[in-house]
Amino acid sequence: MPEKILTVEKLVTQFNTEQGVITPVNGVSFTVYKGKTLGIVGESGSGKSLTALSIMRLIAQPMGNIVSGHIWLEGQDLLQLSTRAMRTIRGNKISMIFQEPMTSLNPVFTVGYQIREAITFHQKVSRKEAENQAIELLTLVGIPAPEKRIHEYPHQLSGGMRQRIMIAMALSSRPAVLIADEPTTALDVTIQAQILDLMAKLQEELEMGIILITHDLGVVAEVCHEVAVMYAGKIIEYAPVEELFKYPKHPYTQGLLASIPSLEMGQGQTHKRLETIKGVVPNLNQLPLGCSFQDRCYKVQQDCKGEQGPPPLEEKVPNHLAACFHPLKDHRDK
Amino acid sequence: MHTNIPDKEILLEVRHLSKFFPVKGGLLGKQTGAVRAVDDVSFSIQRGQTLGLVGESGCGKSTLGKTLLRLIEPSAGQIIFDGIDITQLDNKGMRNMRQKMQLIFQDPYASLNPRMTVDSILSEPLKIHGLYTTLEEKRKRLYELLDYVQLPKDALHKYPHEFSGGQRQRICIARALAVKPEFIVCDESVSALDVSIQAQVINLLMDLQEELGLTYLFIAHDLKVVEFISHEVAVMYLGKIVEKALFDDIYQNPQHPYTQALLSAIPIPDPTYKKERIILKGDVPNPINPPSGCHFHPRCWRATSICEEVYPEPTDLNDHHWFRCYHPLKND
Repeated sequence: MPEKILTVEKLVTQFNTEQGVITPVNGVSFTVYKGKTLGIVGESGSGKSLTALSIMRLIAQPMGNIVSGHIWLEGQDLLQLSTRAMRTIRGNKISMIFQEPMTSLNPVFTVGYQIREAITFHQKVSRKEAENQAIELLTLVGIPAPEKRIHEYPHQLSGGMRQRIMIAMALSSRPAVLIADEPTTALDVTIQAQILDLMAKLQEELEMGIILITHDLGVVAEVCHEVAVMYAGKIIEYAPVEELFKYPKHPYTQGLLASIPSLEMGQGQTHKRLETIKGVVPNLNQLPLGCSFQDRCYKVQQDCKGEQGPPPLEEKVPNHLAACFHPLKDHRDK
Repeated sequence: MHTNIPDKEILLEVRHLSKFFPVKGGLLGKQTGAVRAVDDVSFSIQRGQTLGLVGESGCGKSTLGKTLLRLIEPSAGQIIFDGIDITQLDNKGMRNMRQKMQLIFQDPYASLNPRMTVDSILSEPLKIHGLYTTLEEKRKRLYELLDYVQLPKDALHKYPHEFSGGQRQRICIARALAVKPEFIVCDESVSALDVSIQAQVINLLMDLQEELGLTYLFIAHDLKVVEFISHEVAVMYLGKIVEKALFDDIYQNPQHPYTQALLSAIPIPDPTYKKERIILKGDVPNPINPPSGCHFHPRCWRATSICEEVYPEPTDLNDHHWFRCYHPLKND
C-alpha cells in the first residue's frame, strides 16, 4: 500500500446565506496517497470545489466557516494551524491550480515575475537563482523557448500555455499534494490531452498525490486511481476507479455513467436517446430529510425519506463505500 | 445506419462562403492583414437533418454560424436558404427570413435578459414578427412553447435567475422555437451544462427535431456530443472545413489526421480501456498569420514538403465523405 500523505476526516464547511445556514461540505472524509490521484466528481453545486478550498483554508470568512473535522498532512492538523503557519503550507506543501487559466494569472505582471514571486515566497534565493528556477520549471512543463517566455505577459499566451504556467507555479515548491480544480475544463480536447499527459508525467517524477476535481468521468477514467462521487455536500460513493466504473453501487453514480455520450454508444444507431437522471440538483437550503438524492432516484423507497436519517457511507464490498440503503447489486452479491 | 440517406430536399446550401476580419495596425490604422475566420467554405444541409460542426476554439465555427444568419455579414460567397440567396436580401427581407432561422447560444446565463420575465422573453419574438392577434392566441402559443421544452406553466411569471442552467437553456430553446423556425444554429448549446443535464437537453433537441421537422447546425468543440445528435459531421480547422462525412464514417473511418487526433483526444469513460493516444504538439496557430499550404502541417505527423506549399483540394471518398489532405489515413 502506498504511503498516505493527506487525510481528510469528517470535514464540515458551512456558509451563512440570506436564506439561512447551508452546509455545502457535509462530513467529507478521504485519503490521498503518495504518487496516486484521487478524483472528486460531481455536478455543479455538489461541494467539490469548496472541499478543495477548505483543504487550502481559503474559505471566504466571515460568510463561510470550516465548522469541524480534521485535515491531516504529515502528522499536523491543518485546521489547528495559525493563519501564519498555514501560509507556509499553502503553495508549498499543498498547491492548487484552478479552472480558469485566463483569470488566475495577473495581467499586469510578466509570467516570469509571477513564477519568481511564488519561488521567493517560500525559499530564500536570489533573484537570479529564482529566474533560473522559473526557466527550469517552464522547461519541465513543456513550454518552448522558456528564457523568452518569462518576459511575456499572460495575454500573449494561449489558454493551454497559461495552464502550463499555472502548473509550473504550483510545482515551484515541489508540493506533496497538488489540488487541480477542473484544470482542463476551459481547454480544447487536444490541449486537454496534452495537459493530462503532462500532469501524469510530473506526478511520476515528483511522486505527488493529486486531487483532481472534475465533472468529466472520461477524464477520471483516464487519470485517477480512486474516485469519490459527491452529491449535495456528501461523498456518496468512494472506490478504486476500475471498481467504480464496473460496479457502481449508488444509483446516482450509475446515472452519471449512463448519461455520458460515448462514441461507441452512438455507433450504428440513428439518434439513440441518451440516458438521463430526471430532475436537478436540490437546493442546499431545501434538502429533503433522509437521502438528498431521493427525488431523482428510481430506486427510492420509504426508508430513504427520513426516519433513519441519510444513509451512511459504508463499505458495501471491500474497499468500496457507498451511501445508499438500496445499492445496486452485482454478481458478487448473493 | 445513415449509409443510404435518400436525397432529400436541401434546405441550406453554402457556396464558397468567406468572412475576413480586417486587422488594423500602425500609426494611421491602415489595414495590415486579415483574419480569415471563414475561408471558402461550401456545404449543404438537408431538411430535417443535423450537421455537426466541430473544431477547436478559434477555428471559426461560431463565426460561420453567425454568418449563416447574416448576424455577421459575409465577405464573399452565397448562402442559399430554401431556394433564396439570402446574401442578396435587404435588411427588411433578411428580418423576415430570420423568422425561419434561429440561433441558440452557449451561455444560458448571459443570453437571457435578467430583467425580463419568461413571459416577456418568449413574447418578444412573437410581437416582432406579428405572430398573434389576440392575447388569448398569444397565451396559447406560450403554453405550447413551454410544453415543448417541458417547463411548467407557472414558469411564465418567473425571472431567469430563478432557473437552473439546464432550465435556462430550455427557455432559450423555447424562445428560438417561438417564431416557428425551420433551421436552428445551436452554438455550443450544451457545452456549459453538467453531463446529466447535457443529456436531457440533447434528448430534447432530438425530440423537437422529430416532432417539428427542424434542421440543425450543431456547433461544438466536442466530437462525442456532436456524434450523438448529428447525421453528418464537418470538422473545421483555421477557417476551412477539412473533412465532412456521415457520422458513422467519421468515427470509423477518419481520413484527415486532424480528425483522428480529435477523436483520439476524447477521454474514454472506461478505466480498463488503454489506447494509444495521439497528442498533438503545440496550439492552434494564429489565424492572422496561418501556416502556408495546409494550415495543419506544423502539428501534423504525416506532413511532407508538399503540405507546406499548396492547400489540398477536397478529395471525395464516397458520395457523403470528403476531406482535404495529401496523406489521408486510408493509405495505411
